[in-house]
Amino acid sequence: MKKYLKWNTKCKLCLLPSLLGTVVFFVVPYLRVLYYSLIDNQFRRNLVWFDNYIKTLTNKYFLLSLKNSLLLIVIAVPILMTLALVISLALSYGIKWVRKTRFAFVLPMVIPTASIVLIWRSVFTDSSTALPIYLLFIWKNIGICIVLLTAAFTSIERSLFEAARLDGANSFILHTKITLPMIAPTVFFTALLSIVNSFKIFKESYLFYGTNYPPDHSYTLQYYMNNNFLKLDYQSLATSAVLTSILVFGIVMAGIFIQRRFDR
Amino acid sequence: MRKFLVCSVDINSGEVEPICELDELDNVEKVGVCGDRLYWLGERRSETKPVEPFTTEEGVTIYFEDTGKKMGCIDLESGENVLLDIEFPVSFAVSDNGVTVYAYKSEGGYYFADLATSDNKRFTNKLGSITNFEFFKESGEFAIVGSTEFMGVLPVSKADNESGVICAVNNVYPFFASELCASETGYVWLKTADSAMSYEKRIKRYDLRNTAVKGNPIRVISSQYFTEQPFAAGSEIQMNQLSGEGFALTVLSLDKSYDAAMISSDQGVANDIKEKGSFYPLNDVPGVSEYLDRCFPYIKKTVTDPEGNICMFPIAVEIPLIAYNEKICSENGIVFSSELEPFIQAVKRASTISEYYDCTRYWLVQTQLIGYLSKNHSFDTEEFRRLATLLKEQCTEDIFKGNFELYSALMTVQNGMDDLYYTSIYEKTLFTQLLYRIQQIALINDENLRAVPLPLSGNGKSVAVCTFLCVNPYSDRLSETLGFIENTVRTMSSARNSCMLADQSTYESTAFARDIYSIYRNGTIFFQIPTEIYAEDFERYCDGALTLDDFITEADRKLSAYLNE
Repeated sequence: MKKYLKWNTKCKLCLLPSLLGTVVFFVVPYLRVLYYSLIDNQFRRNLVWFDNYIKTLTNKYFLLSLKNSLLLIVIAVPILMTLALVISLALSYGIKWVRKTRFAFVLPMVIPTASIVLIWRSVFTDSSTALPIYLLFIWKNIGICIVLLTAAFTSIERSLFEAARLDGANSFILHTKITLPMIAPTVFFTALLSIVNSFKIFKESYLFYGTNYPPDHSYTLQYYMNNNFLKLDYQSLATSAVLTSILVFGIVMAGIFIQRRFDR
Repeated sequence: MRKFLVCSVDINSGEVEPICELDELDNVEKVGVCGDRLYWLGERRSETKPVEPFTTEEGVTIYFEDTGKKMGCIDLESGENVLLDIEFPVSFAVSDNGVTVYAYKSEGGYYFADLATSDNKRFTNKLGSITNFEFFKESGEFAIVGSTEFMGVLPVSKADNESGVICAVNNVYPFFASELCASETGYVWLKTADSAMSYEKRIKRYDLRNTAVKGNPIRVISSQYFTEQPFAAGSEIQMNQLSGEGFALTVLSLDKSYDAAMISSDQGVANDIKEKGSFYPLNDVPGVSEYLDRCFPYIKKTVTDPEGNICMFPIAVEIPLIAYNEKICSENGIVFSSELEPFIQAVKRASTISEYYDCTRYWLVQTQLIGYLSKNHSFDTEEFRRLATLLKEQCTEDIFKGNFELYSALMTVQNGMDDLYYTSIYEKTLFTQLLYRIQQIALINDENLRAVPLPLSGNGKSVAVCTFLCVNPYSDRLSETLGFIENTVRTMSSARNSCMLADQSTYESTAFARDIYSIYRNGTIFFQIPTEIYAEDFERYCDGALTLDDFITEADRKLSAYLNE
């Protein structure tokens, strides 16, 4: 018991610096933002409770930005995941010409955003749809998804496939009964990572449109927050930040819930 | 080179007694007596030569030249003259209690040293360029530094590299400021000019009694450059220009490291600052309410929020206007109007007569669009369509163009300079646009000029840009900052030609001054929409890259987002 306790204590001590950092740089600022979302302004500091939330949730531009951010998740993330899965499969199972191009998939991760946007602007001159931004998001994030999924594919032991083949399993059964369940945790993780990354597309979008007021179809939550930041409207900024964090938290928890159900 | 005879004069009897002869000098700039010694500062122009440049720790290379200045000392009893071994002397001052301090250039800055005990040297490179200084007020405690653009106060105890000069008076031009006289009562007399381009020198008295040389510098942040800087009124100002995001971050993070923020009404953030009350209310600062009551009503209305708090103190107001030569324009049939179409016709007529006019398309278009937006929240109106079509078709750059020599010509001739080139331009100048108050005030005494505003917006008022000073409520030097505001109010209350005070007797009596007064009285301040909403698209429309309907759709979309998000 003593040994166990000693080990437990050691683990806690090892966690302490990281925990302290998380508290100081994440938890405390988050609580502060929460506080700011409940007051009228930083100087007067009158508690208005949920007035700011009502104002934000009924603001048509917040709702527009929320809709656009969710559309990005609903449309671009599944396309991204599908493409990443197909390419990872090809990379993992030895299609030669695909393996030779693996470097190209990682390239978008290392090229500076401004350079990518420069090319994008010369290729996509029509900004009447959000297609350029969706494609930019997919192209920029496919690299990391491929890396993760390829690692998942290659980590599956070959002996499992051999054993299954010996038992008479065909390709369909191999992939549905062995491959998919084995890579499922990584797929879920990659999907969640892509969803979180979809909230970070602001930099590329801002450089592409070159303005704080892009077309309505590309006006995402970050634009709403950034514009309120520049207008020093800290209450709208704090409120929308809290609402966004609740949304992301909800998505992540939903993903974890689905993954656990799937695991069972 | 000349010889100078130093004499003592008995004021009562008129008896003149020669003391000493100074030869091999081109000029004697300054003399001062300390005890039984007379110190002099002279010039030997033949010894002017460049000096090896000095590179500071920050990597800045400073070039200067040895101007041939020499400093010497005459024993008043024996008449013996001794040249002091001081390299690159700039000036010296003698206090009432017999302390002589001299300044010399070295290492990219200035050393101040007591002549008696040269060990007690202080170095500063924060003074810019100085030409002269004197003790004043309590001897040994303060020194006045005459520089190329202002006169300031520098406490001798603070003549070190941590402090800068405290700007006591703006817009002083002591180019020939060898003649500087100060009294213990806090007044200073200076032989100076009216403007940077004037040779006409006058002796002016400056009241520096309220110059309080104590406390820390006032740290002011801004997100853009301002032509009107906050007047120091006895404090040292440290301006720090940040980026737009940096400014927003500094304000939102309740940073204690700045004392005040400078904001302009043409910045999108200004209106939010007023509404959110993000800065310290100045209602209780002595003099603020009384000063605002003396300003034009629209200024007080602008800086006061619905609850009556004054969180923004106006330090300057600017309305772009046209200054025209009344005689030359009337001879050529050029008549200005506050309506846009007749104004355009007047400029077109000028373009057929002469090239000596200045009215750029950019500013005309800007003032029209800003004026339109001051009372409309949509571009989709008949009024705007007419305006846009008129601006696109009539305001072309071949007619609406700049000629920046004209302002120099107006300035130099007004100030009595004998420059044939500028005089010839002046005699042909039809009109010029003056965008900034400083330019307008510099010409206010010109008897030949009149002023009209750029064409007025639909509500018949000129849109003014107002610069505000807002106090950070979280500043760790809040009481000093409020004291600075109080001093600033006191100084501004006695300013002439401020373009903010409603009392016409505080303006000059020329017709040009009366016109300027009328223009500013008929002003309005509007917290402007950021130009990124419409400016670039409007230019694309004018270039033909966008139709009017497309521009209206795009601009309305952005405007709606800006106003409602």
